[in-house]
Amino acid sequence: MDSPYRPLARTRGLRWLLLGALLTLTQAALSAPKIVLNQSVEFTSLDSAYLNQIFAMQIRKWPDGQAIQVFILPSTSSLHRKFVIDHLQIQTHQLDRIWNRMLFTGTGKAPTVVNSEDAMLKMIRTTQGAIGYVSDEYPTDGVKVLGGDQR
Amino acid sequence: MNKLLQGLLFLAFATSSQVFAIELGESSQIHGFVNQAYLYSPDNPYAGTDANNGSLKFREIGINGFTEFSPDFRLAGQVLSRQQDQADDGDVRIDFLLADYLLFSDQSASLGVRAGRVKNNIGFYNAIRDIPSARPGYNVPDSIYFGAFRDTLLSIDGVNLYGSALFRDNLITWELSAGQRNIDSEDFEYFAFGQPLPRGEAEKVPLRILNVNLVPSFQRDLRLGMSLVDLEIELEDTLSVAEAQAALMSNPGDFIANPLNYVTGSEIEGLLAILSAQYSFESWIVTAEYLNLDSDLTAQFAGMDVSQSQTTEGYYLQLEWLASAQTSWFTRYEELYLNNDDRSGEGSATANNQYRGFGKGWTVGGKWQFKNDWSIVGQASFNEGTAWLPSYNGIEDEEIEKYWNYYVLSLNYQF
Repeated sequence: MDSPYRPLARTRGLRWLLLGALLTLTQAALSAPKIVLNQSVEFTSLDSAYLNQIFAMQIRKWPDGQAIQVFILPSTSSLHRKFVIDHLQIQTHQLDRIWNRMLFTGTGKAPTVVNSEDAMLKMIRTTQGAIGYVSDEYPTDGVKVLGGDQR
Repeated sequence: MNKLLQGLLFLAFATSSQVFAIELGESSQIHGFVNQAYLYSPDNPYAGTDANNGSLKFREIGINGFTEFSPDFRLAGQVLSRQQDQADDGDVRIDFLLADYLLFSDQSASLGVRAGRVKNNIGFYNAIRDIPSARPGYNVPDSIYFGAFRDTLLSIDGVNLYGSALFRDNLITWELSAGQRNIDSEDFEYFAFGQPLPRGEAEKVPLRILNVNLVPSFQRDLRLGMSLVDLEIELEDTLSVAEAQAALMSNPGDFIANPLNYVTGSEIEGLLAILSAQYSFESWIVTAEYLNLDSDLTAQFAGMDVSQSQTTEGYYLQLEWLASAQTSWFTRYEELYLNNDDRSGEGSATANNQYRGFGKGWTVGGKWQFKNDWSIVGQASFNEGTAWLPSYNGIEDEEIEKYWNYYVLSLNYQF
């Protein structure tokens, strides 16, 4: 009588293990910051090269001609670091250097720094052409969330 | 100068670290930095004799501003003061002052033009050699960015065309610049003759520059660069041939003893090429650059032409480790040969310095950003040969050592 249950128990154990692993993975994926846009921006997906150039402040205008307004959290914030590593796949040091180079050679500027996700969302909502990011669980009423190929 | 420094420090403490910039309305900003270094160079004079016992006479201050009238049109300017003991006196100068117009931009290409005084992108670091927060350590690599052509190459008064193109996912950025530069020719005189000339000034140096960078689609972590510079430096207001001959009438033997006192003209035509590569892997960055300068030097001694062609060659390999969000470490090995056919430097030896023809050196250092806008850099350099030892008025009277080290600790604030 016992014998049929043993494999089941083992299977169940394995299932829990798999489920646990899956949950961990999903959670890791979920906690990746999401990219948010002002409603005026027409994109719903951006390829990674274009996204990199936007956050490196190398592109000043959206294709429809309106100015791109980039917002970030302070370089030392963990969400900023996570965003830069996950979505731009570089280190925050490198991005800082690119911004400093442009600012101090007269060829561009750094993004606008906001101090909280709340402030970030408010700026994205109210600034034409704005792009930024918030953590995945953060409610995003009134802004566009970038889907598709973000990596 | 001190007032400027005090004002900046006051500003530094008055503004909270969360304030990234001073915003003047939505479309204008003012930024700045102060970098104060302590430099100890026990073996050789470094930009003066003060650093032999440790010196604080190494300071850089910059303030810049920009106004954006539209996404296409902006004005930007920066003033800079740089003190390097005897080599640079801290005079406030205009680093750049430019109008920038973006002619065209879409998702795959852009084209723009800048006019005014524009910083030159030559190699990865020329444009930021005076910007502490953008440098890998206390200074940019000596083997490629040595002082002889510093002022000549720093910026131009002229026009700069720039653009980018995304071609099959390969990102190409390029710049084409043409203009001229007024320089103090002393650094060039040290390069050409090993000492300054009693008379002669280079006034306007014409420059043409091409800079191309590529991020290939197959490896986005790789960045390749190429820079070409065509330059011509001509000394004016030297002794006239008649004056030189008149002086020699009374003392003909002096021509052999002090030929440089009878230079009646000099010109250098050069083609500078720099190849650059950078590869980033997780928290590691490997950077390498190679410099090749072909120069034709002509000098007239009391009217007699002497000419020499030489190839200057230099390279470095640098490894950076971005250990945490606040700290980074680097090490670099580099070599420079003023004349590639004379790597031991015998031909370019001067009375006080047998070792100016070559340089080899290791540098190690680290950076700690201890607050948002504040950082400390520590660096040690161990050198053989003095090809990149900074020249200054009076170095020709100092006995120069072959092996020399220097150590720097610098504090940087920027807003």
